Amino acid sequence: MTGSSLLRIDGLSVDYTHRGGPSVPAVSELDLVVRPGSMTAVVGESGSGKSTTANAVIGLLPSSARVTAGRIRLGDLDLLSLGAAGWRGVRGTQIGYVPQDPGSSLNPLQTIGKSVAEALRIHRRANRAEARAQVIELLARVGIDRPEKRADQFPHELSGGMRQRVLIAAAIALRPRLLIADEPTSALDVTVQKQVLDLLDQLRAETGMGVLFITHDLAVAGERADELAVMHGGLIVESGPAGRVFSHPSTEYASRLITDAPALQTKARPALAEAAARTAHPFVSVESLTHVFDRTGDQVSGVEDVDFTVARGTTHGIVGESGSGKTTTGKALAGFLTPQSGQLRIGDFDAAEFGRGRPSRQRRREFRRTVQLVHQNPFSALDPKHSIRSTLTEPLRSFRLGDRTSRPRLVAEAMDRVALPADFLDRRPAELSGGQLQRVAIARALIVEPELVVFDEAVSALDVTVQAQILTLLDDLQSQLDLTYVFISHDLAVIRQIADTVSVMSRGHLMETGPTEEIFARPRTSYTRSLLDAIPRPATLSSDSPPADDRPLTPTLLTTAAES
Amino acid sequence: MILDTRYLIVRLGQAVLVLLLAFTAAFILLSLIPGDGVTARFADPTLGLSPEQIAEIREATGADDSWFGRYITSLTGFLTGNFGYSVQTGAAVSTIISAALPSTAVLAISGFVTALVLAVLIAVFATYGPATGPLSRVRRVLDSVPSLFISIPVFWLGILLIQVFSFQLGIVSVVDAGPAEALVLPTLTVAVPLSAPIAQVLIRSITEVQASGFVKVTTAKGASELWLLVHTVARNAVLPGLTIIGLVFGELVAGAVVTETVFGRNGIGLITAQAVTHRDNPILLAVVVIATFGYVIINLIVDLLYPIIDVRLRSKRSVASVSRSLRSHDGPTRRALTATAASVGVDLDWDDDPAPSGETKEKNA
Amino acid sequence: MSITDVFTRGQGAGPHRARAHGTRTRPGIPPATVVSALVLLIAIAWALVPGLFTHYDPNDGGDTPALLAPSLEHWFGTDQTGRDAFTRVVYGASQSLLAALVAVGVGLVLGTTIGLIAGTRRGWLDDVLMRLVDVLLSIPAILLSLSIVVVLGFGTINAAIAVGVTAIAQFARLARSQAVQINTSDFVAAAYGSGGTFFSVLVRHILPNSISPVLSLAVLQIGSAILQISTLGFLGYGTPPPTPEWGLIIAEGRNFVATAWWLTVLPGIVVMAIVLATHQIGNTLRKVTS
Repeated sequence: MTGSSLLRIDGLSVDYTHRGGPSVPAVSELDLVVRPGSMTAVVGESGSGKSTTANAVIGLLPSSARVTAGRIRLGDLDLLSLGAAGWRGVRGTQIGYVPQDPGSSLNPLQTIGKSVAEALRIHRRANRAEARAQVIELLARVGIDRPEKRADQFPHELSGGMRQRVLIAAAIALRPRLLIADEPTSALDVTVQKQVLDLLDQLRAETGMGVLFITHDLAVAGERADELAVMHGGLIVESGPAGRVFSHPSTEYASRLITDAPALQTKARPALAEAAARTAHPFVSVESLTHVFDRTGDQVSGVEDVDFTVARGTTHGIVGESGSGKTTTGKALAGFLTPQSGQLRIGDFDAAEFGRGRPSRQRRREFRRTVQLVHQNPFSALDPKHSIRSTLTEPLRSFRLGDRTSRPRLVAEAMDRVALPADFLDRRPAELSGGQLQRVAIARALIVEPELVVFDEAVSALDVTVQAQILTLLDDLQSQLDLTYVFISHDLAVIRQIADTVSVMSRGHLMETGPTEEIFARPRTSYTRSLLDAIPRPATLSSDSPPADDRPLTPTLLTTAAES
Repeated sequence: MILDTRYLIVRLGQAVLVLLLAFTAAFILLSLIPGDGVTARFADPTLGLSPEQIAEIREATGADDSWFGRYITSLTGFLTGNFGYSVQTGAAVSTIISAALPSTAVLAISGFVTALVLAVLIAVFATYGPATGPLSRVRRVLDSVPSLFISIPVFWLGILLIQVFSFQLGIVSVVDAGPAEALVLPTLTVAVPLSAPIAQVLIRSITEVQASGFVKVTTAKGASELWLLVHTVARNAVLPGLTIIGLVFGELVAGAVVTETVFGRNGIGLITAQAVTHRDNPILLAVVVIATFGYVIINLIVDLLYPIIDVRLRSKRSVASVSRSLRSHDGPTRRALTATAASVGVDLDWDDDPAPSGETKEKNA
Repeated sequence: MSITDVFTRGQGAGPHRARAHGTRTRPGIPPATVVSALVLLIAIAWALVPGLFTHYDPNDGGDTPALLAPSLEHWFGTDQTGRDAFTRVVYGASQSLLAALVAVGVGLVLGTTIGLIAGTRRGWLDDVLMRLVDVLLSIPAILLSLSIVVVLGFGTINAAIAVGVTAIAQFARLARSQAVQINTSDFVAAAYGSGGTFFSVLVRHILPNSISPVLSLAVLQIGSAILQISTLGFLGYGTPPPTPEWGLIIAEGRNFVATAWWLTVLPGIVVMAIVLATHQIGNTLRKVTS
């Protein structure tokens, strides 16, 4: 470890002032060091103050924020004393910045080449022709194929992973000493995330720049960072070398984060009798389900020829990256989409029949009751105008369950089942947190006593600790009520934690299906292997993690996966 | 290939359809519902026309044809530049209009250009500069200027300008003024209210672009505010401004009608006002059709210009099938809708609209 | 189309979803809104009980000298026949505000109905309705309202209906976009999943969630309706004289603008203040409801 520090933050406090309201501290008394050539990760859940820290370092705090105390020094330079002109001299040249969302971070009307050359042009380091040569070199350096062609393309013509590479290329154009990466991979699929992180590691090693890495993902931080700072409520609750924090967390919060992070759980749910999954009469059976929205070459938007079965009382996970067709499958199962062809049997219902024939109203109603869907985003799944009580009473009235006197009791039971206090009933969705809302959504699904519940990314929008609570709740409810779950997620770790059987999907096709542990232990397709391989593994937890350059995959497959 | 030929044809077809429907609506309103214009005008005993003469006129004007026959006659007339005859003076409507059109066109163009300049100035100074300190007051004042401008009655503004600049200060003469001098006050009268919506849309789009991720990234590269404005913000903020140019055409027409009346300028606006007073429906019908034609053409141009400026629309068109991109609603309607919705604080997520969500729709009725 | 179509008080780009879990701080009412509310209340009081504010006769000047300059006695001076100009403005409120309400009512009811039907039923009906709305939109508003006035005849209510028709398109488009957006939202899907029928979902979820922007637009539209109606009045197609109406008052004063500027300037300022106030209130409402 080099003794000298590149970036040193001492006792930084940042307040947000809302108009007329009291100021709220977003960050207080923060100490942080980034050394040359090393990576310091700041980990925290949403609202922990980690992004505020990053913005303070690059001097881009919103106008409502104010630094109340502390010092930020880059080498010998006191960043907080800089004026507008001073900052212009530092940004780009000494500090590079890689943003969170590659989708909106490139000027949509500018070619890739111009975006990458922008820093060179701003700081007058190159004329047009020289800039072009440097751009092509930079693009090649971050692993973009055919850089000459790419330089003339526009952002919308590139995949998310490509765009993030372009942003990295633009940030390192002037060889800054410090790179701030604010959640650079959270908008990316897991295989693409791995590529981008590998790139950052490689650049760090080659150029000796320091990286301040902001993330909500403890596993990513643990795998890549040299030093770790865990933030909670604006404070650093734990910091130190990454290995030490993982192996011996000294605070309760940090250890809870580590245990709750699904990516770090090696123990899967005890598998329900595997025989049950292969019974002759599965509860759900999907046969050659096909529903194609659009087709370009090999790429299918929608689903094609998907088959799997789910035994009663078990959980079936559907995992895949964005555009894999998992949501379409879920919608078809829940009866919100009539597939173009194929069979979907759930109990004694044929879900596909509802679109084609003219089933009786009664029959459709029964099907709706049997299968319930829980959406990804709890904030949009509940009508903001209705109280929780009204939201939970609505399905009872619609399905004519209970009567005027028994409904309040049923609603209270439903709240109790998802461990929410009864006084929440008169609140509106805006007054509840994400986790609480998702509990309400689950309560609404369960109040009609369904047999199958389809969860569409139902925990993806939640912080990791809340996610863990919901997963535990679902597990308990399943054994209590003998429910069958279909659980859709992009997160392999979550699937591993909850599913008995799993289907892996990619680009509208089913790659493989089988018992979860079997697939995790012995993936049969290279696609599944690449997915598993991309799960970050903190060094201290998996001794056998392969070196970064020893990827078992061909690059073409990786790129195509990224573009799906 | 920037413009897809098929897209071009479909879009042209739409424009023709809208124009035809607008003509039909105006024809029903101004020609069918009022009934027999000839009888109303010439059967007046004071004119002393004999029944034979009236019958002759009826014959000549086709007043006894079925409504469909008159519709077809009128439609073919419009297609060939024959807009019928004024009920008031008997002169050919096309002659009256072509005499008045140049003056109105000059006023409209100068008013529009002035409005554009005014709007850009207001928008830039309302969004740039220090957010705090004494100068921020200037920003806040400018930010509320469009609200003020939009609340001014146009006719009142015209009278006020005459009062102040001609009568009080004597800077601009309204009597015996040269063509350029006579244009100054009418231009201002048209421009001030017209600049308000344009400035408002520009302020909003500049603010939105300023808050976007790529501006933060560019700032993090060390760009100055000027660099950001010129290289990053301007082009992105111009796109919604382009839509507004198509939409304010209606305001321009309203401005011309009122301004020409106030200043007594001979032009389409004055003719329109006189036509209403004398219930000269053929003139009104011609003005409505010509103005609608102008609106449709301008919006067509804006729509065709869009893919040239916004690169994102180029490849989308070539990838997605044309029929799908046009099926639900065409581009200008969407953007106009977005502007409408934004004016009441609603974000429209058009991206959520296409195919898949259409399929999920419940057929549960 | 009216100018409110594109009119907005710029609000940051904050995505709408964020508001759901954003902090619910209740910002204080800005002073501009308080003043605007006062202005509107006064205007409404003028319309309802004009006698409280003035003791002159709006249509008969008696033996008062003509074209008196503003004074404590005659705040806005007197016009060519010696009528008190302020009194005429006060009495004009009832005509102008009534007409504005009728106009916005026509646009709101017809437009919202069309929009909700188009946005929830979709398919060919949506296409036909929206194409018709496009046609309404493509005829410049002033020409459309003039054409309607020619057919219906001059007069306050006819002018109001004519202005109302030009507003239909905007209400229809806004209501449709709202309905489409709400119709594809998760909570509507969830309501169907909970066994809801088309009609129950429309009434319980779609209508309540889509109506508030439409109502905000209605308030914003009152201001532009006042302007459009006074324009028709100024051109002489609205309320016939001698009944006072704001556009007409300014048109009459215009003949004396060189000698008696107050007859045009002061009523114009009143109209401007009231229109500005409705915009302010409309924007505040919009911010509160969104």
